Amino acid sequence: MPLWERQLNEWLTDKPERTAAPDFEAFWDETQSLAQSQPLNPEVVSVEYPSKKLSAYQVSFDAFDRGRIQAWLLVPTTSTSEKLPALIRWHDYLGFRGRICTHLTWALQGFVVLVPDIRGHGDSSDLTHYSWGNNKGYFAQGIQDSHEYYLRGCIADGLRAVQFLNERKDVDSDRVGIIGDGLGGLVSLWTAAFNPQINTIAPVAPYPCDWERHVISASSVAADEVKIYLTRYPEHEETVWKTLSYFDPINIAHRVNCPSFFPLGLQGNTAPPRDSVGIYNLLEGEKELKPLPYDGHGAGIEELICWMQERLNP
Amino acid sequence: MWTFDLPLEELETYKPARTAQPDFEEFWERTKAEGLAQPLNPELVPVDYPVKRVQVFSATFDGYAGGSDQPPRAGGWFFIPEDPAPRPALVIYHGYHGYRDRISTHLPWALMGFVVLAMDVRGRGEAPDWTEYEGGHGLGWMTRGIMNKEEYLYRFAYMDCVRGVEFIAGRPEVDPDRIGVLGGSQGGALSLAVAALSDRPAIAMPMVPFLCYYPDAVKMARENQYGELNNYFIRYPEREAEGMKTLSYVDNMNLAPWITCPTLVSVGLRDTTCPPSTVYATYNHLTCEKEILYYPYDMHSGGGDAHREKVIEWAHRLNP
Repeated sequence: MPLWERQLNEWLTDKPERTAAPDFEAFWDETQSLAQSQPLNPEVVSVEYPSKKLSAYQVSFDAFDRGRIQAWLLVPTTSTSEKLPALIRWHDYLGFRGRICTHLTWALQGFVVLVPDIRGHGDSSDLTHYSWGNNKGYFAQGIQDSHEYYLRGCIADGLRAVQFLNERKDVDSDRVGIIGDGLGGLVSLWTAAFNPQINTIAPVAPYPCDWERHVISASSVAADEVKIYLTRYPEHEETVWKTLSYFDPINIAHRVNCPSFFPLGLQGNTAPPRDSVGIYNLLEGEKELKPLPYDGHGAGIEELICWMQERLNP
Repeated sequence: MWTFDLPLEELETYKPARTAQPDFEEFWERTKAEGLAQPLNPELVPVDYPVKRVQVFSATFDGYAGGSDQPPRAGGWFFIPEDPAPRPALVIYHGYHGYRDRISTHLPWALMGFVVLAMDVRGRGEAPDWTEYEGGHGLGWMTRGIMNKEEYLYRFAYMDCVRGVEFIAGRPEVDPDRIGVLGGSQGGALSLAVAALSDRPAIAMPMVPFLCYYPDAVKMARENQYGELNNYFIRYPEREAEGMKTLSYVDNMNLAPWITCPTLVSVGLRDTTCPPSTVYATYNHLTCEKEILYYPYDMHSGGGDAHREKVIEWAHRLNP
């Protein structure tokens, strides 16, 4: 047995302990109900595209609380009026939704594809009225209070993206999957945990997971940003870990019941594979881990295509 | 203003004299005639793929023999979309350290309605290089056969790629008047070369092309591709004149005037792998309908997906 496999087998027995605060459920019940009661005010504008095999749209909807989410919506051309399966794709931290061609692989297979910019990224605004300033990126933004923390909005926007698809006549809401990279993987875990309607998810190297361990062991931008904050404000340490516990997938993974595909590059250090495996171990539904032993941030794209074809039958 | 290459205004008119030797045309006429006369002996092996809107095969055919009675096989992924024949087709070539890549890499083209051949280049991926070189060479492929234009690797690689177009043109699913060639970096070089050496391409879309204007390239190269030549000439300074002469036969600047199909080129103005002056030197020798899109802030990714959208737009001239 190769070394990586022995190491992986060891990780597969490790179930991280939850760090949820007593009001964790109440916090998320409130957030979820706010996210779902706020109107979307969707707008859909057609975009000219050379291929007639799909229709492309620039869409937007109100972000959670304040601001506006901007996204691509790609709808494959069909000869029937049958509803289509859909995929939401969430990009990674500091990424953007990419170009239309970035997503043709999925749209042309027959999926309706929704690709939002995460708030504060690309064209989506983050208009949260934070009480504090910031040091660098987003991971320390609002860290003083779980109600203000940056990821609360990201996750709530994730729930609203599903709602956006549910309101579309061309989407079969029983066949909705989510593919998320890194931070987008975290959003997809959360969405599936709160929304039993999600048919399947593929979190690719979800990040950050197991926050305390992540901050001290990963070489990631997220870890850096939190460390800068803790270095400047050591007296806030307890608050920081408490805030982050509301947004740690280790506290939510057990609520994911849909089938999950977990492609995992074992050479990555942005999302340390051991932490991702910890999350995988907590998932309750059908699940498959696809180790990519010599790859850093590989997505196992061929296996992912196979998985989505089987689950969502485009 | 500091730039590592010429400023844009100068690049736009930069047109050094071609370095073609007196027998340049004769060399390629002979090579082409041989390469087109040699039978392909194509073979298709179906590949089971979850996306049922396309049929996928691993295709092989005989590589350019160049006098050998044992040519190695060339080939790549071959896609047939479900749309009714005849279809337009694309032949796709990869970068220097690349390979034919995964099926999914090319899937969007096939799903847009193109028949697609995504080739392995000689010596890369699953395409062996069996040339019986007289001597050794440095790391990589740039110096394989460099002291003899008849055995230089890119003579064979170019003809394999021309034969890839012959393969696809001979397929019953394909409309031979609607064939495009594309690729990035080395794949860009191969797209230019095939557009020059074959009458078939109706459109060429080389991105950040490599193998352009070697006299500049070897002076500016900092990274491994062109740098393999520098390393060779450091060891063997006495071979530089002859080596540069061999390279002139495969220099896309010298081949450029032979291209007659519309050609879309991209260039990153901060590209140290395929420097802008080498690309413009070649582009400015094109006499066909042409367009160049430059990306002032980009290096060798040459605009990335922003440019890829332009390529998709151009490819739709073939009416998939």
